[in-house]
Amino acid sequence: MTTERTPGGGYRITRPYNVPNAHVRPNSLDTGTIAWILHKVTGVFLVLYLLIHIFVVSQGVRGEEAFNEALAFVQKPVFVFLDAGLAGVVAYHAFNGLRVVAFDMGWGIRQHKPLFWLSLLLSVAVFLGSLWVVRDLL
Amino acid sequence: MAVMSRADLRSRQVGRVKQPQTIWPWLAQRITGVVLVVLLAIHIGVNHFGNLDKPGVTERTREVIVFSDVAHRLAMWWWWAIDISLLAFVLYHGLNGIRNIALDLGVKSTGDKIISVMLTVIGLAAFAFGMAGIIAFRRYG
Repeated sequence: MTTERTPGGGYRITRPYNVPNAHVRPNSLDTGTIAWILHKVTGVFLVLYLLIHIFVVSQGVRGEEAFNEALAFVQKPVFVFLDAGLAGVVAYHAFNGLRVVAFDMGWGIRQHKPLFWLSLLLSVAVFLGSLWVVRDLL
Repeated sequence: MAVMSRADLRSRQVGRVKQPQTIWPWLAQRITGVVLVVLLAIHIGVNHFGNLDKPGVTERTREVIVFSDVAHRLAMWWWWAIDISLLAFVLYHGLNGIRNIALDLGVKSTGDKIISVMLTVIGLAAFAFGMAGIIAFRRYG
């Protein structure tokens, strides 16, 4: 948010619409902004995970032993726990992505706030459900 | 609201935001995203969490995923289709998402071209490596 002088000597609060990327510089943390930031942050995280994941599970190119060694390392209890967290992060990105696609189709825009909380709730449920599924490996 | 002149309208426009040249990356991002919801549900359910009870094991055990489990799964042809399409779709969606963030941050045409080329190289390299990883199960399996 910025201010500009008015002829009377006062100030007027204005949005800086003249900056190059004003459409991605929100001036408040509304529900939609939080959803958007979380979508971008989880997206970047998932790309980094994806590249590491492809590298790890492709260790079969070095033979069966190399694959088993790499997979045994990433199946330690701490990684199993993180895998459940990963499922939650993927779930948030997926549910919020479906929410965005629905808005693109013109569906549910008036319910965008409850739909965000639903996405968040469902992804926490996916995380806890995943933890329950892998409870014996923790 | 008072009638605005052309100059007023121009000054109120979101300044110098370059409009997208084509709709296809945007549309592809949506389509791959929706398809990935299905593919990733299968992938995570079966590959990450589905190996807890291997074939022949009746009790829940602390068995970890080994080479033969994946080779056994990839003996079924449709798993090749699922894994290869997942690899291609997820790489496009993820790397195009990085480009979208760059565009949001105000990267212009030349920077966009540089980033697009870099992401394409990363994507093709990761796809080739992932394909080699899948084919390895046929070679050694």
